[in-house]
Amino acid sequence: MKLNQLTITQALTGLKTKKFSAEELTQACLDQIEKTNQHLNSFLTLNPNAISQAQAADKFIAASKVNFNKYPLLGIPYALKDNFLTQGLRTTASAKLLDKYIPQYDSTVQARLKQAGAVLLGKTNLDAWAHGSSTEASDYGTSRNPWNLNYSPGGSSGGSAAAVASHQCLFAIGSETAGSIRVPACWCGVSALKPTYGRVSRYGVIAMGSSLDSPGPLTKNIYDSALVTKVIAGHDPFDATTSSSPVNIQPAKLKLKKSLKGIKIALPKEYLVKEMDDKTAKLINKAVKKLQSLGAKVEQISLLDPHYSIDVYVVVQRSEVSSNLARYDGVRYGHPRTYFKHEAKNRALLGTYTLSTGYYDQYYNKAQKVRTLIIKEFNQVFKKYHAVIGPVSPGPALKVGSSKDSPMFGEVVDMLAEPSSIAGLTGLSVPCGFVNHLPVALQITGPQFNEQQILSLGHIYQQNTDFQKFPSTEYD
Amino acid sequence: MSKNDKVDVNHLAKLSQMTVTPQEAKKLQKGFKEILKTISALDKLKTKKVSSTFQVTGLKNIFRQDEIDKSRMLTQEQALSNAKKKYQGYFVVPAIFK
Amino acid sequence: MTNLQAFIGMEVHVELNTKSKMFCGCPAKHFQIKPNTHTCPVCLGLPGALPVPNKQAVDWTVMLGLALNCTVNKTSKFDRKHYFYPDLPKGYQISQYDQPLTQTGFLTLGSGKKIHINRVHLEEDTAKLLHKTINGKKVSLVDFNRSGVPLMEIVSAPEISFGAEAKEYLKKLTQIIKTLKISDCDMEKGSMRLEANISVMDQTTTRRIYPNYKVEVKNLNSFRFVEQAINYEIKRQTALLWQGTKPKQETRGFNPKTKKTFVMRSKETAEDYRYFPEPDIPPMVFTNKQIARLQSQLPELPEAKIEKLATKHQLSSDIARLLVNKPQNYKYFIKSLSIAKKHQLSPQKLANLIINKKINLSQPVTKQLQFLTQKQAVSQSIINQVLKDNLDVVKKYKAGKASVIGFLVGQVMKTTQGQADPNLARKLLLEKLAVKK
Repeated sequence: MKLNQLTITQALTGLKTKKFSAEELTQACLDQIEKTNQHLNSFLTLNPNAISQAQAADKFIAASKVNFNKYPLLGIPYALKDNFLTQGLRTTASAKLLDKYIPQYDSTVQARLKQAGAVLLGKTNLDAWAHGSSTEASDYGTSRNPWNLNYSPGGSSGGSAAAVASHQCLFAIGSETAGSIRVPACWCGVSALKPTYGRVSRYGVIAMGSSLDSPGPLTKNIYDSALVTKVIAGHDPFDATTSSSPVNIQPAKLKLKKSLKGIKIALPKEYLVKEMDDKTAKLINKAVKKLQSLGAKVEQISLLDPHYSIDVYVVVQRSEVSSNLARYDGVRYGHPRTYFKHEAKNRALLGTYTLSTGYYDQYYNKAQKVRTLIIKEFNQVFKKYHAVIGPVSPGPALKVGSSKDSPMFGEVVDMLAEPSSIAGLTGLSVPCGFVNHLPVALQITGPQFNEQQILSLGHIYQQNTDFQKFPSTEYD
Repeated sequence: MSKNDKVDVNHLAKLSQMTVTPQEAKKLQKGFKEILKTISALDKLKTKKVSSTFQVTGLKNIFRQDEIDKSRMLTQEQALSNAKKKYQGYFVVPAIFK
Repeated sequence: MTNLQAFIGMEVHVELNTKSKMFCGCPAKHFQIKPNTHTCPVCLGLPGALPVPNKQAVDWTVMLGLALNCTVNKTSKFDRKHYFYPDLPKGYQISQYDQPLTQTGFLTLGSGKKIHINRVHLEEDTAKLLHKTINGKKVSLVDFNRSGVPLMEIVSAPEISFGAEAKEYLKKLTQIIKTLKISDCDMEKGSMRLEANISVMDQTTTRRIYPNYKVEVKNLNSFRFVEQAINYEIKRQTALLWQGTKPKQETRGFNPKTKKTFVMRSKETAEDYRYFPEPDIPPMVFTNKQIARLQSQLPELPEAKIEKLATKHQLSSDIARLLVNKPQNYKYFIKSLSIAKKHQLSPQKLANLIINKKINLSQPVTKQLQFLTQKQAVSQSIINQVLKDNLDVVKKYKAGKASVIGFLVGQVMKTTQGQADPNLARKLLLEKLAVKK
């Protein structure tokens, strides 16, 4: 096994026992990137200081073993979605408008990962401004699905998902407004967590939907997701929407539980949408049976049709997007506003409409009221159930080119992730099978600030199945 | 929400300072018609007695103390580092006539 | 048109003198600071930056609202106000729209007329723009040191009727703000900015409460200019109405030399600010306890001080007002009361001495009062002189006409040019007359 193919846990063990150095580990990733990025277009910018950061990690490791408690990701190479600011390293949000932007400060997530000793490999591709669900809207060309280069990796964190699936890194960071972590994780067959809104700081993340954006990890298994989230989560005085509640993530405890006895899970029948692929539906049912065999009670319930969530999400997100793009005037940074491309214009203009005088009440305000209905509904569900499950996506990855000429493409693809995102809940994506050689995943959603509960569920499911696989990356 | 809401794309472009070519405007106009039709489904839901959720976390009264925080302050050089046009410590923009 | 009345509303912006800015920890000080040296990602509007509100600024705004008899909104929030301008780094200003911190208060003028305050709310200031010609080309320069400084907005109802009333309103408002010590209200430094909204309406021909247009006058740099601008505008608008023309809704500036207003820009259609609640800042909720605590932190306000002086020390309201208007005078007065009493100097007399600058405020009062009362002791020889010069009156007194003492007191006052204490003079005269048999 090549070093870059290790999981975080395996790599930490190897580093601790001095089987290899952090520099070797980082170099293995860089080699893989060099070999495969031309096919995948997952990385936009490489960190020129990656090796020196790895060397610094090696010095720490040589100093004392205790260091791993203080630096839980010491020496672990990762990829960061290019909408997270990195001081001194170009950050573009995959938009040509920011082609030359060199940030003057680090996002909190980046600062915490650095503090934990992790090694930044580079910045990954996304739909420009995170406006999309396939990475095709990137101003730097689409990324490709490591399982089949004709297919999209999903989006907007497509670059991050592709980087993890192709072993270009050991973990990646993405961000989700509604589906942007879970859908690419699903389409690329990796594990991922969208933390509760307010669990991880948005400070230094180029804002898309301010009341929705949630940074989170994409990893090679659920356990690694827990490790990474524990490092980046927690109150940030620079982000007034982060919670001061203690971070409920204990990776060690995940290993203790083996059965799902006593767990009650809800499966909304409305999530098995009309757009759903038959084969995918079968795999979801198979997953349900697996959970039941592990001791869980799975019951079908009725929830508000997720199509309503699309409507709420479109209005709220685009309104906030139109506002968040207002600062790009080319004076203090970036190119002029003429550099905005079609999708940004599409979203900004509709968002301007839904906020304008005379329309605010019937659109934005109305959407925020339906949002309350969705939240209340979930609150009721979580009184009886520990988690809500369903497919992440109605089917596996779509072919590159599917997003053309569809004004609501992104929001339709993300339909199944939207209800939980609108309610600010936490949800994970865990692989549950293959359709036409493309991965499909199960989503497990939990109540706000209860990441531990769903991580435990996901981990146990994963330990008892064998769907966490990785494609061959011999593309030449 | 009327399905016949005609969206003035050019007015919106002006409001949001986006440049839109006539072809783009046409495409956007068509798209908006479709979107507005779709989202009008929200009208079916009764929300008269429902309050709006602007903040899902339930947080309230988040403040900072009135203290100077030097850790985030930028030097003049840093502040200007990405500007296309600068002059003696200032950002330069086309003349604004009062 | 028989009943043309002017409706004037004042919009006052005041920079709070907090240490740090409204939504970040940069120093709020920006006057005469090197450009773009007090900035951070937040106030510079960099991608990804987020606002966190300054508690002191919020508390002070609530306190001013309370001082202006406003109701505090138990739930308040910030909203985004969108427009594009180079001095606005985010393309929106974080301000307050439909749930301001405080609303519906009033300020009472000397005439007893109440000017209602619509709201006192909190927002952030914009950057500073300078205009320059570089290499023959006209450009504007932007300095973000001021961007993000806490700014309070005080909006009055259009109930002011003429220039002098506006001036009085502004003076009183400024006095209250300065008493709270939350701003230096310095128009030269720009920590206080004034705008007047002026309309004229014929009250007999319409059932409206307020006119259906308004002319905004900006860039008024002194209370005097406000008064002049308003009076000019009332004339101008009245003339138009007499012609049968409705004045245009527009923004005007004021020329202090010509004492006339001029058109700056037309404002036929209101700007679409696309307000929506600021998603980056959770709402603010106030309990009765918190409001009571802020109320208790209010210092004694000018009107309360004036009333106290009137009731406790029998000062006339004019004298009391003169004292309160000059904080040094007031402080000195209060400090010196007990010493003045020891020297049998009445509070009224003390007040007069201070107001007429007969006392040096930088010197302790004891010595000065000794000297001043000594002055009055001098009148002993004057007493003798007056009695000598008015023997016929003295005779009348001795004959039983007690009331003539008033005339003799008057003579003492005349001789001492009003310096003598009439009560003391009276006392001394009576003593002397009793002796003189």
